[in-house]
Amino acid sequence: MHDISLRFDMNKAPFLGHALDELIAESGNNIGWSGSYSATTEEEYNEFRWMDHDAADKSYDPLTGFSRAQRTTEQLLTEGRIPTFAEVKTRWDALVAEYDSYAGKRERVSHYPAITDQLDMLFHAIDDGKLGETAKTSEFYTTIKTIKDTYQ
Amino acid sequence: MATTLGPNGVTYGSGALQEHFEGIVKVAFTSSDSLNHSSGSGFGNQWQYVNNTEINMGVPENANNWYRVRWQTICDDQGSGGQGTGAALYRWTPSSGWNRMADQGHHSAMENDVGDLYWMCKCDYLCPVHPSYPTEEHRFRIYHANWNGPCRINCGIGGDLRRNGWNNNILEIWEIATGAIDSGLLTRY
Repeated sequence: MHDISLRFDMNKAPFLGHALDELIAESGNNIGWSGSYSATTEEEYNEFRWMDHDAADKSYDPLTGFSRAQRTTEQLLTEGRIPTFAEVKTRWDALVAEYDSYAGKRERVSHYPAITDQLDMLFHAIDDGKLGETAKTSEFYTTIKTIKDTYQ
Repeated sequence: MATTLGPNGVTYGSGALQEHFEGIVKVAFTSSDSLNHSSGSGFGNQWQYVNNTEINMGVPENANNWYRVRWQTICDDQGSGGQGTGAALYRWTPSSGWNRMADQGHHSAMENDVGDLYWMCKCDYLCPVHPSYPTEEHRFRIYHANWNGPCRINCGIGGDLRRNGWNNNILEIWEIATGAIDSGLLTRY
């Protein structure tokens, strides 16, 4: 997963759109797309509107209401410039599996003390000479360790 | 002659018939069904139609009427990095085709890498009847463009309307009669 911040989103698992963006970026093709980020079916995927950023003519066509660089899913699949739905689905499943494996770590976030409190604990541990192995008896260490052990 | 309320409206003592609320010719609304819609990561003029945000207002009642257009949607960023979006209003008549009449700018509603953020993109546009084709049918659409990354709109995080599923967006257009309008310094275009 390129964007590790997705692992820690408390509200939603990665969408199919995340997987598609990753695959396009990895391919190096200069393609953009427009559609439902949370699409789940091949039928929806086939209805996406694509933008060929390398097209010579990117002017706007008032008759259609779209750019002349717009492409269909079928066109770009034929040209091999976008991944198939199956390839997107495989990547999406992997992203969701990784997201699920981070459930405990996401839960930790709301249990950690404020950064200022953590730093204060750290200061007092140092001030008390709790360095090396002794540091593991400090309040800073035991507080954080308890949270990590509780939310795996 | 007394003022009477009939099947076609209110008839005044003078004989004048009022068929709708004063000043309001027509009101129409709809909602996009493209849940968590992304308008790509194009820049500049690469505005993308937001599926099914099209309203046909028919032929305007008067060449000097105005349309008030209200659009709102809920946005979400996609992980890290700054991302933004903005809405544009497009107008169509058979002779003019689709033209961008107004837009907010593609980063008018944006977050600058502040982490996970949800926010509202809302716009109120005032658009005149087409000055060259006032007797033609008028349609309107909402387009969006993204800035820097795949910001999504019409988020499925709650629901203010029901259209197939829950979608956080609404498009509403009012045709307002010229007699009820003081358009100030606004220019017709």
